[in-house]
Amino acid sequence: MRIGALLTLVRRDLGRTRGALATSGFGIAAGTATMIFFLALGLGVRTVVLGRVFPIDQIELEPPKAQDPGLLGMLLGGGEPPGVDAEQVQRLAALPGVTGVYPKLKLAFPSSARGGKELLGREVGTSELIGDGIAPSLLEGDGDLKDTSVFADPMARPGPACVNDAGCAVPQYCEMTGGAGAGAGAETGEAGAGAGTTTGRCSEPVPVLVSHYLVEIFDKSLAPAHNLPPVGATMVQRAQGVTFDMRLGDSLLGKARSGTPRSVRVKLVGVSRRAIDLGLTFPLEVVRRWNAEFAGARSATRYSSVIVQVGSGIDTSAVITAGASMGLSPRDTRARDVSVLINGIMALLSLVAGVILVVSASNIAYTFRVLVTERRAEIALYRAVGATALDVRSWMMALSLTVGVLGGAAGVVAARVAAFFADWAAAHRLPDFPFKPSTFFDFPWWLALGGVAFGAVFAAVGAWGPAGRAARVEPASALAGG
Amino acid sequence: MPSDPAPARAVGEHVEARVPEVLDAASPRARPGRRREGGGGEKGGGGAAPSGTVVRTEGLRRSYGDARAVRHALDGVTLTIEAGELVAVLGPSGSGKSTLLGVVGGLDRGYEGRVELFDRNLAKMRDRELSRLRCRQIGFVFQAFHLLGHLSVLDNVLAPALFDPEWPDLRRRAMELLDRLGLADRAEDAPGQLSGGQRQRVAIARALLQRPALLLCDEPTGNLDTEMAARTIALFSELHAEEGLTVLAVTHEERLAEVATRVIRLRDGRVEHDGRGKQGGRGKQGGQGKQGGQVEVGS
Repeated sequence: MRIGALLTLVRRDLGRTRGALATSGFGIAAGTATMIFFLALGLGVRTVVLGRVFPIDQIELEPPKAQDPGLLGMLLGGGEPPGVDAEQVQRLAALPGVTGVYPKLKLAFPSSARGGKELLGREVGTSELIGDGIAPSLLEGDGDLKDTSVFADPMARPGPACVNDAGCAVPQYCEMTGGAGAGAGAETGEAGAGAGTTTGRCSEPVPVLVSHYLVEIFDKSLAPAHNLPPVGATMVQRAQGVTFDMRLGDSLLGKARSGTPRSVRVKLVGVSRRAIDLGLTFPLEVVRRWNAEFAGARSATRYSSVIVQVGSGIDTSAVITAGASMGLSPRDTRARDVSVLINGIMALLSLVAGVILVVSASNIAYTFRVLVTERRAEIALYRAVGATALDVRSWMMALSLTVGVLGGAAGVVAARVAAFFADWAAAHRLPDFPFKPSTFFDFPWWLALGGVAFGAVFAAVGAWGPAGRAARVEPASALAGG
Repeated sequence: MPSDPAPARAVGEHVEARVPEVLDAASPRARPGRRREGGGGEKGGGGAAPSGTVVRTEGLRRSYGDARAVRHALDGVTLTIEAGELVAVLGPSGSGKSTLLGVVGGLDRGYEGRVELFDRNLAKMRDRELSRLRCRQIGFVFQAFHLLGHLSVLDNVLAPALFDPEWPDLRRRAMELLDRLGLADRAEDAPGQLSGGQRQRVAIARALLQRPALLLCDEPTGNLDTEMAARTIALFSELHAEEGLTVLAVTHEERLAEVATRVIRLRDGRVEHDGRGKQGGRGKQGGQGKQGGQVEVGS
């Protein structure tokens, strides 16, 4: 039978049996809508949690924390910090599925910062500062920073020689590389100011990144508690160029064991998911230089951790295993834990939707059984005028597939409408919280396609048996009324 | 039964006036490239001079029930029907007339013995081949009409075309048939709006749509009043005479036997009588009165 003839039969049936078929289609639509709604919700939450809170496409490996002497140990000079050496980095880079390896260096000496007036309206005083350094190449392709070239070691292109900040054009400051000294703050008479014996080089402010996490925590927790205005990631992005002073080798807790404390000028250049959660992230070479100056050469060559970028989550476990063989362990397993949790919830909710679809398929089966019984004479007539058994089966299956596709499509639409209202309710009814997304749902194209396909498949499964019965109708008996 | 509201026009005159036009349009020659599959070739179809054997059965038996209570609806029927015959199969209820029609039409395959249709053994034909044969070579007319109430008259007539692998556009042919049968103005009506006689004519038009070589009629006048039954019988006679259509009609209607070229009487599943009808025609004499259908008829 030609497709056109088949469609003619289906079109006629949709018109004359619309009541029963609509009931069956409603079941399919309800099941599909439930499934798509929950899957989209799961995907949306997953996108937020794993994309913004705990990125899962990267694993940060670090030496065991037990070996880390910590800040106090560093202050007291007791023990060297553990680290990842260059050879380990090379081995990790050679692992299958690894698309990139990015070492990180923590600031291995005390430091502090003060400022905030430009951003917050008033100085927030001196604060202990934690920071790390990452390779600028890690930011490429993230989309967080439109121009990654701004995140580079300014001393790669040093300015003219100087002895203090006054010798440099604003906004540059005098970076006293490896010596005692002046630097930013020389004008304000802080320690080292006016030494004048060591020359430095004029430098652009050191670029720094902050994390989304830090912005969220600040906006949702710290800002309300200290009566500060929320900044928001967008505002921080707009506030690029805000500078403040940072004190190296000296903090509220003590001084570095080597080097002379000095000040530098840093400039906020953006918000990135690659930035350290709580602290500032600098270009790797900057931290390497500062660590060498204030914590010794070893702190400049042994990385505090290494970010391993994987192409697929499937390769994650292999990377973790390889890291363990080098004495490295994942820094944060929350991503995996959350991922497992989300997957579990999605599976559970999909199971509920699956049950609904199975019930729908049963409904389809019942409807088609009745339909075949009612139409025995019609089926027999069609057989008499030339329909093959396959034609009859195709007719029933095409009808069920049509019901399934229409039901599935209606379910997808219903899921999107429900998601719209859910997002609206969340936006207006739920209190603000860190990482609250503008939408909790993600509707990729394949999900909509899958919803329609699921509807069709379940309808077809339900109609398969009755279609077989229809194909086996004995024409002679049915035409005789038997 | 409702009386036929159609114009009381002599069917014979009507057919006389219209048949040649319809036959021209219906001729296979008018549709070049149209295949005739299923073993029948061109014979007997569409007004071409019919020849050869259309139906042959040997020791045909059709049984129902189980081993403890078996009933033979057909019990060793052997007969041959040549192209161009108008055969009336008569017999009391339960004699196996409709069963014979179902088997010969390939609708009932649970038989024993041998059945050949257009020289092809039905038992060896696959469902697809047999369905195609029914689609193109055989027309069915049923006592209960079996029109589809959700379709218009025209769509009912066109139903066989849906299952033709070529899905030909036969609307013109269908309209010509309806016109010939006096139903052109009812083409868009629902079958429920028609009288019994009109419905039967729609069923006949449906049966003729594909220009079959063999028309199988199961009590075609059973649901018609006397006048309409007479008209329908006359119509079959005309179709047979003008188009050379082979007709096998199962009936209680003795008047049909009067126009038949051959009359077969069944009783208890056996051929009780097989002989020339009053019209004689191309029907051939067989073993009249022989019990059990053991004698091949018409060969």
